[in-house]
Amino acid sequence: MAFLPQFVPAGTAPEIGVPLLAACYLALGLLWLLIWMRLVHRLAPHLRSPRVLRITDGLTAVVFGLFAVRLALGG
Amino acid sequence: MTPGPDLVMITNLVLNGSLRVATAAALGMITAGAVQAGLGAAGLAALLAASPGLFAAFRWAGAVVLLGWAVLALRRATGRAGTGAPAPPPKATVAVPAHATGQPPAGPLYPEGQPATPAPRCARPSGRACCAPGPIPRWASS
Repeated sequence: MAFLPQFVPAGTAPEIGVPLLAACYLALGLLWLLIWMRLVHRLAPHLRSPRVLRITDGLTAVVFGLFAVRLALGG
Repeated sequence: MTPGPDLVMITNLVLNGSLRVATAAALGMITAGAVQAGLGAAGLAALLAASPGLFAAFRWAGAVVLLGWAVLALRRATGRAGTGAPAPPPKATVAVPAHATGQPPAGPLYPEGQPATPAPRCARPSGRACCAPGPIPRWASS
């Protein structure tokens, strides 16, 4: 969110521009997550083997662990 | 939108839970983003910047939550490796992150057009049921 104000056009009032950009950003984010979910769901029959599940669980653990450490060290 | 914890968690929820749970989590993430923007506009960021102790506590709390999810996923991964059971046991592990993201249980908050597509896919004779892959948390159906 902190990067949004720099993209508000010069003539626009920031009280209007920032919320508008934030709404666009969040809407795009939701759209992207929904598309990704559909994609994964469609591929799920192939992905739902014990091995792949173990890999995704491991990946989740690594990513969340790394972000936890990063946040704890000063984010 | 960049690959990060959000995307990893959504992927995990679709595979271990269901589309319903993942949809609820996605809505919760976006809602959290909106709340964050609102709080930033309200001046919470300035307040946190003004008091370093409060900011540090906030930071550590976030780190503990993230670490908790990491441990849950790790336990699932290693547990599955030990037994080699084909059915994922998502009962407790799926429920915790979805609750922790702060959204209400996945009931009537479907965005649009949700119920139309999964039904025929479930009825498909080949393959396993892809909408309800295992024991769905009790709160998800209520």
